[in-house]
Amino acid sequence: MVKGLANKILRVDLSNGRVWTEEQNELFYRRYLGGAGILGYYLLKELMPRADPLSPGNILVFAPGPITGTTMPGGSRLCVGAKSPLSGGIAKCEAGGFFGYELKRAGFDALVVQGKAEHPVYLWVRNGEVEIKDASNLWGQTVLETQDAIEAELGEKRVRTATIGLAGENLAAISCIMTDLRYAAARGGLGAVMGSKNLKCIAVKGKTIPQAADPEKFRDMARWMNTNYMNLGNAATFHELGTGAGMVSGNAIGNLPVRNWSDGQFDDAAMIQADALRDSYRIDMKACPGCQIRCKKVVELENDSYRVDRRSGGPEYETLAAFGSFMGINDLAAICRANELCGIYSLDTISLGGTIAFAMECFEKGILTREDTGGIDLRFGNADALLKVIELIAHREGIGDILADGSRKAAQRIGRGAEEFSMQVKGVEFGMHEPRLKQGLGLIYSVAPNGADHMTGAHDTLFTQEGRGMEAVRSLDSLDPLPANDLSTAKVDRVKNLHLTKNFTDSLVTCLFVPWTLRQQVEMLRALTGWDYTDFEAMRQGERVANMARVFNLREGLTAADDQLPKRFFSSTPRGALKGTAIDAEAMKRATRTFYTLMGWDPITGVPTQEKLEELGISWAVAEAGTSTASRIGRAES
Amino acid sequence: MYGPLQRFNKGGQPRAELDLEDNLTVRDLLVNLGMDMDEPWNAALDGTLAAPSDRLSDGSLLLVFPPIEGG
Repeated sequence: MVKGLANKILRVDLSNGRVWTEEQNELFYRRYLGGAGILGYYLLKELMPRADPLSPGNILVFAPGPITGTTMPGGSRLCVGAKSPLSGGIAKCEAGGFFGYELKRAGFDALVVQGKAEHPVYLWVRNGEVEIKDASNLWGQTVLETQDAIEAELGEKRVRTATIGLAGENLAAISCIMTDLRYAAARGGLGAVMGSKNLKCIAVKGKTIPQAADPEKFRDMARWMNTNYMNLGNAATFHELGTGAGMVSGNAIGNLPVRNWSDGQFDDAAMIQADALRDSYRIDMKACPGCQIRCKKVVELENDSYRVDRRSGGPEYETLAAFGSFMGINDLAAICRANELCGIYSLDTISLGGTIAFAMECFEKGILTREDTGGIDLRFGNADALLKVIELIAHREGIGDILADGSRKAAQRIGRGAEEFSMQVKGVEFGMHEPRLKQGLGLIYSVAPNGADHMTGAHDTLFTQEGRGMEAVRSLDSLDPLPANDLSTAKVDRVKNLHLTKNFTDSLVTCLFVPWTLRQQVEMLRALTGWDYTDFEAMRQGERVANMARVFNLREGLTAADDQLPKRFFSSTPRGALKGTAIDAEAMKRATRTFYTLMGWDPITGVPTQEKLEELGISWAVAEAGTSTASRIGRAES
Repeated sequence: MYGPLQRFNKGGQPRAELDLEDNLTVRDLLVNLGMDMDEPWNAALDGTLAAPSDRLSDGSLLLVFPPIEGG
């Protein structure tokens, strides 16, 4: 038994209604920890190679981390993942709120769901007990309606939920899973995976408080963060404004994405910034359990056309940018409404933003016409069109049916040169940070296993000059400030090691906005478990997670050819701070090969060597991966 | 100046017009304002990402803000 953990993994097979618990030994937990580590393990171990992501064979994993369920600030999150219907590779994301916290307190380190129910169901998990309950009457309901109906049926208040709305039910590959109404396991189409299993919701309640091996040390660390957070990292800004405080400044340096990455300047940046929201529709800030930063905005508004319910939360930076500058929209009320629609229908605001902006550019270029859009004037800047198209996507009607599976598949269906405007990697649309500015992040956008993900990359502008920002990378033996657009070996080494630390963080599962250092995260794991856990193991864990995801993707048919940025980034924006700045294609190609080499992968194919996998204790993954991957790894070795 | 960095600006205001000696660098100015240079910051000078050693000129517009990541 490992202190601080539940030491049980909950398994559910919806095809036959079987529910069981699995007890893994201590070495399992030391090797895979939780979150992203447990996700990688189960996907490689139990998912049949080349399974259709929307078939009963896909496995949906909800994995809190060791720290989840405690009162440690930043320790309420969980990792959610499966094989992605959007990319065909791994989908991995982290969500905040109370769901992960409650799942751990209900007695489980993870929940692994397989199979497909005959009719819509929901799971009711309460203090170690599990029921599969009929959800036929919930199918078609919004996330908010589902919450109300389940609480009424169970006769319980404050039930914590992971739920899909219409987009998940309709198998939209850009759908997500909403946790506690306003948080999202957003990327990669996980809502569709849940919908394909006829699983409407997982409702959880738990009361078992994890006990740390060294409770005093653990409490002291929580107290220290709660005392000092205002002087660390960006926590003071998050506390005051949440995310999205940097629209104007981002526009000034070229970080803010504009009109599907086709432009470099958005004159109305101040109108979609977090302080504009504070001064208009924001009515409150909410926190995850144990956290005093309270970064989560709550908005409420009512106008002639619609009202926005406070229970849906409010738009984060990614959403403000995706529905704002990225579509040329400056109407904050409409952005709040679009955010709410995505919440109640379970749509990933980033991929949805990327997909609609793609459609807007196609419309402006004449590739899509009013005939295609059902009469909608789908131009950049048209907020009303945004709201209409979200409805169509959630219902899979008209143009919405084409856009519901993301811009890559939409471009394939539309043809007529639309592919040029589909801005994604591995089918997954970009986070809202400019890779022509942050070129180290651009590298991670291209090589990250889950597509153009902004959460496991280095944001280069943090490390361009002396100051406290440099400390995070000095501890990784990356000593000198480097320009944001640098792609030298020193930069690739920094980017790679930050990618690994973030994969460790996603295994522990702590919040990136609570400014814990790597050392502190190791300290909290030691205090929780009593293990003599080291920084070395933390880096190894990050590497293990990255390699498991890489092997999984190779097994599912992805190759180095999928580690590519769209061509647009190799030319400059026509105006704005990055006018005249582009990514050098040759430099990025070299950086990618350097990344592979530093990861212990073949420099051309990006296939991990057998020795690397043996070093990480995951050579079993190749055997599980089947003959074709094994032979490719064999080739890389020779 | 944006976010918590605003407290270092003249009068704690978001915007200030300053008369400066010639040839000051971005770093010189921020040090003169009393900014804690350990605090994470980025700056845009006349519309592009600035290095600490970039020199200010007459009429320059300098924005100073916390680095942006995630979200």
